Amino acid sequence: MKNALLELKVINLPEKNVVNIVIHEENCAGCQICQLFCSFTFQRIFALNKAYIQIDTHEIIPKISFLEGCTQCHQCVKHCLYGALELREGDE
Amino acid sequence: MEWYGYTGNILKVNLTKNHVSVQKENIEDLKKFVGGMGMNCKIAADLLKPKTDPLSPENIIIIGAGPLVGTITPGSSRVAGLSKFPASGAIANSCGSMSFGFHLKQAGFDQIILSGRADQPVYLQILDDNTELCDATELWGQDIVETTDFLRRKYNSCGVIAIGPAGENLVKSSLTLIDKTATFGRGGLGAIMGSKNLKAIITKGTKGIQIANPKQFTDLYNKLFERIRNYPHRKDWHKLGMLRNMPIEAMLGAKGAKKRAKQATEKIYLKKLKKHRVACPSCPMGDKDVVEITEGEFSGLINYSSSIINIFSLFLFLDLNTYNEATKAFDFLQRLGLDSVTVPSFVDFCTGLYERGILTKEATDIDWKRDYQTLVKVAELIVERKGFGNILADGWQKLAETFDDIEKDMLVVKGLEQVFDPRIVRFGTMEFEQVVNPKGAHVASGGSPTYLSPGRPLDEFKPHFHRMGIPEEAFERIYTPVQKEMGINVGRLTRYAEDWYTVLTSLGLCARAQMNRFWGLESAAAFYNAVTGIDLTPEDLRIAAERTWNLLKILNAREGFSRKDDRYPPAWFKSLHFGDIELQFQDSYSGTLISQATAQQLIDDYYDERGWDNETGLPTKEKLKELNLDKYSDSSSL
Repeated sequence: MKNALLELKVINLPEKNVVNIVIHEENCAGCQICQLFCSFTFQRIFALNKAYIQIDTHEIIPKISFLEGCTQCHQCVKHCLYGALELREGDE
Repeated sequence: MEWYGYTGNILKVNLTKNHVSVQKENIEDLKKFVGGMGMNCKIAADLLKPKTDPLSPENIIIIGAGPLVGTITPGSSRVAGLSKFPASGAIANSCGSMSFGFHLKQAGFDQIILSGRADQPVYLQILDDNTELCDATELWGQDIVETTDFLRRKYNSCGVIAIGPAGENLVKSSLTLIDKTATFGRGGLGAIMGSKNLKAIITKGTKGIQIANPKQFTDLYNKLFERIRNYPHRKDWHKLGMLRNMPIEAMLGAKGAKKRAKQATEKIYLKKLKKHRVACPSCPMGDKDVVEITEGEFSGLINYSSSIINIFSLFLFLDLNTYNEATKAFDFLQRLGLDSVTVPSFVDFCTGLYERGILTKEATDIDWKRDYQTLVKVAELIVERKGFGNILADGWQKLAETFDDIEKDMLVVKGLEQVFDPRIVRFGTMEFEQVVNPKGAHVASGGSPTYLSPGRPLDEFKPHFHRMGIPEEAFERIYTPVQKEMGINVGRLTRYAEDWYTVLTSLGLCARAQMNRFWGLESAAAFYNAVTGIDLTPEDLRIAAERTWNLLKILNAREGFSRKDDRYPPAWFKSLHFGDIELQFQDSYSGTLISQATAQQLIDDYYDERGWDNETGLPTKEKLKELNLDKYSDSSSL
């Protein structure tokens, strides 16, 4: 499978006005379930480098970023049980 | 062929020849042994020659990650390591977590086989197909945290297994750490790596894992994930980790060690030590701990561990003054690659010998006390193999050979010291498993729901028995205890606890209580089938586990182990003075005092439930035939 995502750049998620993703890195335990679910949903494979959300577990507090191409399907938020990703309603 | 779940590859590394090769796996072997722990045993039976010296180039290390590892299957990051261990001389499996198995699978390998000995310090780099032995001369002598940090700076997020100076100096009880957090290889894997001049293994992969039936998998996953999401105690587990089901404070307090209990409280953990919760890849019930000392002379120390209970458990052995001392002591041992059960046990036992006049300060150069300073000094002497430390570095058997008539007082089985003293925690399957486990006194494979509070209805066990895949025809036997008031037969139940553990460890699933509780034999088989596309029934999985455990036993029969080695520490039958209370050898469910006769009957019943010979304690030829292990039945020891 071609690994196009590696070429993509980190982005700031555009605010959708209705619901936005709020990141709480301090709560992230680094389980990477969000990342694996993303790669499986869109690429049908479990591979960290094929996800639109990236969790860097190098430091004690992981770093969370999103890559270009993320559709804001919010599946990552729904699969976070540690409170690191949250949906918050924006201003209409 | 297309591989799903499995990668289909075994990485073979000959350290003597500096040669790396890849061997394709055989699908029929995988059906019989599943993967992980099962395939480790199969490979060892084929490659590891009997009576091999554990620290010789001829010994091999096999590291396996099961078919569910590398996927999002909840709690599927477990890796199993098999070798012939120097502490006991037994061939045994160890397990670890964190990210090593996950990255190994992502790099395209199910198993690694390491053999030989490098002529200078090396580390093994596995980056997809870029696999090679790299110079580790600069890393030799560094502790595990320094080594891991160096490699993670070089490779960024990756899985790392590393040894410390204890492994380098062939301390027979030394272990390794995965990602500087999870212990791996209690009983001497550190020394085995050290004997091979192998400082570390790092792995990182980009190949990914494909699965056979995405739709079926998604349905199974969603249902399981929702159960976990809705588990009412999930947030408590996230908050407390293992402290939730093993409250050391309560245990110490109830046993009369109230001063120590005050240093191991939930409040101290949450307010004074806890810095961050860490989960293994794919785990929604993460319990790994990062703690930080924020006051006093050790201020600023940050420690990663597989659980805060490992730190607080030091108070079970030692009169440490504060939680900060316990944290510093644990961190000190861990960095060196020493076992945080073994060294405190040495200090406790040797201080007892000193109090009885068997050891002297002059002869050992140690002023024996159960305190922090003694622990640190003993640890340093062990790692440097200096003076009395050189004896302890060679383990309990060496200590027993050095002084007359002390072996009977050692809380040791097959060269490994106990993890749980049944006089403190009472006697269930985990405590019994310490007696019959081929590895020695080890508890991990004895987990079961035998720890029901006294007086609870015995029928409450049944849903757990079903979940673990225990056949109904065995229920009556399990419910026939040696003494009526004991409720259940711990010996018979232990056989099924081991088999269930083997199912989990062969698939790559976590066996800790908070994940284990969501799994059953049927759901494990359903996930296996969806991931691999290979149809195994739950019964096939159970039989594969039984086959694996029998093969592990045969491997140890070839080494000369038999019933004579499945021996209770004699001291269990004497009272234990702990805190200001005298504790006795009592069963977990009813508190019944366990006599020698009852204890021996439990071993008889364990063998009977396994279908093994009662006299030798080994599998019979008939049992091996039933499990399609005939080819191994010609061992002269059977």
